[in-house]
Amino acid sequence: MTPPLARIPPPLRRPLAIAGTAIATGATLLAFALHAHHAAQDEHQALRQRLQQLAHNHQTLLARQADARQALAEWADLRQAGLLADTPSHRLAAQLAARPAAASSTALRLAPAPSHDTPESPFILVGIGVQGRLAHDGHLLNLLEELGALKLGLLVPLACRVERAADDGPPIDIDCRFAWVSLRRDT
Amino acid sequence: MAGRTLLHLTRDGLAWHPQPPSDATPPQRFSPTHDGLARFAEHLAQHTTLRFTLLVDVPDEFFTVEPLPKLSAGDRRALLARRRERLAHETPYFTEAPLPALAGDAPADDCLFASLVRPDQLKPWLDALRHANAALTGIHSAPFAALPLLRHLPPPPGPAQARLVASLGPAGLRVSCYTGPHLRFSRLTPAEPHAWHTHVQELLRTRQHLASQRLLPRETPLQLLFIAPQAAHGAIRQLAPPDLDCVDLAALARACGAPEPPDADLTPLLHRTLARHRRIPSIHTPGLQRQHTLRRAGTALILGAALFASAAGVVAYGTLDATQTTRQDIDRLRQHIANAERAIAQAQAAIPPTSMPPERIHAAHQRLPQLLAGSQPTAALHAISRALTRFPQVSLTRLDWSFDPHDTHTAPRLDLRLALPDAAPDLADAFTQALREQTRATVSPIDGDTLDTDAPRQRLGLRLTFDTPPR
Repeated sequence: MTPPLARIPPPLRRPLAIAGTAIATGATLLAFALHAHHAAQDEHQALRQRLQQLAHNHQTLLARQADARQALAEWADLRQAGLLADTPSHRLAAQLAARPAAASSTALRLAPAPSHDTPESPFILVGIGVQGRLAHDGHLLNLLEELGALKLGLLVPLACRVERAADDGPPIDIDCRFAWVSLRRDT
Repeated sequence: MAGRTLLHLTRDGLAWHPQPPSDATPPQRFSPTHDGLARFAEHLAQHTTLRFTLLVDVPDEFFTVEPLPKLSAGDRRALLARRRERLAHETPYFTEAPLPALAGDAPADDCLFASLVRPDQLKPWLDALRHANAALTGIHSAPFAALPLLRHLPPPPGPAQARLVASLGPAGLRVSCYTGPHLRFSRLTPAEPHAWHTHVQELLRTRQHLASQRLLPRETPLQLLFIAPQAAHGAIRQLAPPDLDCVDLAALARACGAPEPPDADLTPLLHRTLARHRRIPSIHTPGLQRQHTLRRAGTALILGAALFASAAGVVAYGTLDATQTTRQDIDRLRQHIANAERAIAQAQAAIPPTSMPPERIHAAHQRLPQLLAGSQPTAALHAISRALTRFPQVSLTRLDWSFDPHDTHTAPRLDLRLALPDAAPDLADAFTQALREQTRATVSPIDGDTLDTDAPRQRLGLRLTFDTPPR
């Protein structure tokens, strides 16, 4: 059996060897260059995506910065409104409410009142009920000021009835329910 | 003849002319014997890289003009192929050349076949070359190698431009008939170099032969030329008829760029034409044709591979250059990434801490206006008081305040029950309007009550809804 190389005509053997070497060299060089180029392109693409991600992250952090600063400003507003007070218990609130002069001087009855809190609300309400007779409606206003000055939260009237009494006693009959509103701090 | 060595074959053997030609180095000669062929093969083995051109200058060459009918190109090719095949059976070595019609003749396609009638003169040398795998670029008969010299000769008369040219070489006197740039006939006669009388007689005999064999029409003007050194022109003219012209060999050599021959030998000029001209008809040799074709294919293969390798190199260089640019961009990207990471760390550190998540603070702050609206009944009461002051005849009998801090959609609400004097039918309307102005609340009647001022009334119920905190 004729070996494969012997089948090649002699005039073609040397040119085939030279051509084969040249083609192999050229192809190897080209393959190496293309491989290096593709590798560089892949790395470039990956780094570009990483940079885009970092830019996005940076923007997010800047937004969080602005958000936090705004939250601090709002926190100051909430503090200004009195909503950042330490929330007392209902009983303690009633005891504290009985101390102001307006409350003690007007024979009003102060008692803890249900506030119907909801867990999803951002605020905690500590309620107090006030019932009795007043000689003057200005006394009610004084009472509101003194209760508000206790700084147990933002004082909010939930429901209040003020009516002129028909009998001989003090002319103003009141039945009110107030609440100190403060910011819920638990997580 | 850059890179091509000339081999000159005569009846006496083969002459290997050095490349480049040199007077100091005479050609090597090989006799047509067994020893001569062996030496030739040995010499070939020592010069495997040379390329050769073989000039065949032998008397045993038979010229025939084959008239061809007017045919289409395809039919003409087929007819010529059959004639070649028939001729190849008689002799494997022949030259084929086209012969256009002579001027004045009816148009006809002729073909000249010049056959070597003694192939054994050539075959041993070709076998040696094939065995040595030598690169043989062409095999040419001497009269065909002289074709490029014709344009340096005096122009022949008549439309046929027929000339009969005599010249001397190592093998003897060659007399060739040309019409225009085409060979019609040639004959080599062994002779001594300076036997001018014999040479002239042979020239004239050839002219008669052409006429008798009707190789040229009788009335065709025929130019007679003898190429010889200037010193021999006098002797030739004395022996020749008046219509025979002499051509100075040295001048002809200078005209075609060949070295001036030392004697009357035309061979150096033939060497020159073979070196400078590539379209000289060659002797058909089947085996060497294939080798020549393979060699050309090999050259084409090398050129193609070199072209591919060059193109690949150029593309690779360009690609590597682009890769270098990409690497520089990568370095810049890495720098940008490092800067971005530092900026992120700084931004992260600059976020101020809050006592609780900002979104919870936002949610609480969003409810603040509503809470503030609901937490300020004092302002509302003062506003109501101002309204009541403007209308002293109206008295407040009952006041109901309600507010739900948990309900974000409901504003604080204040219900007023008022007592009015009978005699003021439009008092309710006026008081309601004043109340609106003072409190900035939405004022509406309570529980189906109306503000119809036509009927006198003693009681009035109004509902105040505070969307904005009262002044």
